[in-house]
Amino acid sequence: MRIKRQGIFVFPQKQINFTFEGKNLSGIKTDTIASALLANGIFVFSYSRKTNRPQGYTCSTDFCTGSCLMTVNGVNNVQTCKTLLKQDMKIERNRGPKHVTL
Amino acid sequence: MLHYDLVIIGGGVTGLSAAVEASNLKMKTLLVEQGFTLGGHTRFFNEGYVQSFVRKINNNYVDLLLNHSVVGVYDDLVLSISDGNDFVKVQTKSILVSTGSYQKRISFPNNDLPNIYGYLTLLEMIKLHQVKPGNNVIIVGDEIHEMLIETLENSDINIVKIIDKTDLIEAYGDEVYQGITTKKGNFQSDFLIVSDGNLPHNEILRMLNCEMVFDQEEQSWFPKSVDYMTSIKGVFVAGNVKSFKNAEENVFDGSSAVKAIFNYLGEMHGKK
Amino acid sequence: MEKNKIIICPYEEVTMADIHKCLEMGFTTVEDIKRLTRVGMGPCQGRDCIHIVVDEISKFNHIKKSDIELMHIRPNLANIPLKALMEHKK
Repeated sequence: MRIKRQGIFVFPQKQINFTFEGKNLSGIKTDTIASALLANGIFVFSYSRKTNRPQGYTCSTDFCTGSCLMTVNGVNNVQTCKTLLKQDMKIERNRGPKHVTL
Repeated sequence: MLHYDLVIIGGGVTGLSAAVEASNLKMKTLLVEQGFTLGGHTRFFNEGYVQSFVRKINNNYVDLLLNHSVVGVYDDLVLSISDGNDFVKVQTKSILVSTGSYQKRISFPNNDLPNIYGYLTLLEMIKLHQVKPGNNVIIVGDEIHEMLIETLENSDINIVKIIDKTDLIEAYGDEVYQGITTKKGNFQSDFLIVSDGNLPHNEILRMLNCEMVFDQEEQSWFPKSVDYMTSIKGVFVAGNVKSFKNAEENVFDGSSAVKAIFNYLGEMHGKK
Repeated sequence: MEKNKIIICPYEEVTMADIHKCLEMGFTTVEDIKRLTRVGMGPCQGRDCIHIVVDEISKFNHIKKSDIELMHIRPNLANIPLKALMEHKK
């Protein structure tokens, strides 16, 4: 959920629409895909290959565990923690085998 | 191949402070940072903090390369750098490793459930994106920062409980985290924060086979250094990867290391 | 404690049970356990998991952590697609 109190940063106004697994959702201009999903209450980002365990957003830019990889506009293995949210992005849980490149 | 006097690996506060000093000393410098913002852990401080360093960096002497990781370092001080699309080779006269530290994970059953966060991941969510995963939280760990508590309180997040990691038995939940079982009973919250101290980002130093020393207190390996120089000639180290300190101490560390590098380069030049 | 629910490496899906199996088979080095379980071979290259493996080796074999050699680090530190190298060749 979005924090309502202002804090140190100014709350930007520009809304960005996107879809997640077919559902229409919205985020804001400074969002990464990961933060937009968390803001919308979506916490399961992927499932582990062998054991099918639900995985969430556990990384930041410190080290990668591949848990945030998703299919964006048909492209697999997009790092949603680093990718900025763009208008009309089509986001789905990873459709291909997990693979992390820089 | 690009050529520099100094390559600074890591754009946290130590690297930034080093870059300011390097530009003052007119050293041809490259600062490489793997994230998309500068500041490292201080990117959560107030917005002016990182800017106050960036402003003082002279672009005529210092090149900033964001979103890029150093993927290889070699004995002759050649580095290979990439962002996944390019491959940049750099020959340098000196390297400053200021790669900092990162949060330690704790192992317990179901520690991979969604909505379990390291404290830095959560701070990033709150401070950079104004997002919180819920309204109440349990914190597990033995090292909890004041800034974390302050940030949670300012975001109207209620701290249900703070647990020692030795009391934790397991986390549970269906698709996402729901609660924990501890030696003192069951507790539930919207999400869980793990806050258990840091480890140094020392891969670059180990790749170069720098002599390392095991620190009993931190239970981790740190590089042996004299006057900021490691056992490898021309490779210097500063910041949290050298020893854990606060931001202010690391600012001093970064600029002092560059002064040492400047003297070293002068000596090398003099020998020729 | 359910060892197979303690996830050491979420990417390669290595559990504490896997690590303990190696220790019970008599393996004592990080490099051996890495090769058997693939722990430390994912995108984090051991940053996230090796300190836990070292902890377990230390407890199981009663060895001091300072005596346990860490895994070797070699270039490249991250996956680079071939296309990046080919761009460079141009």
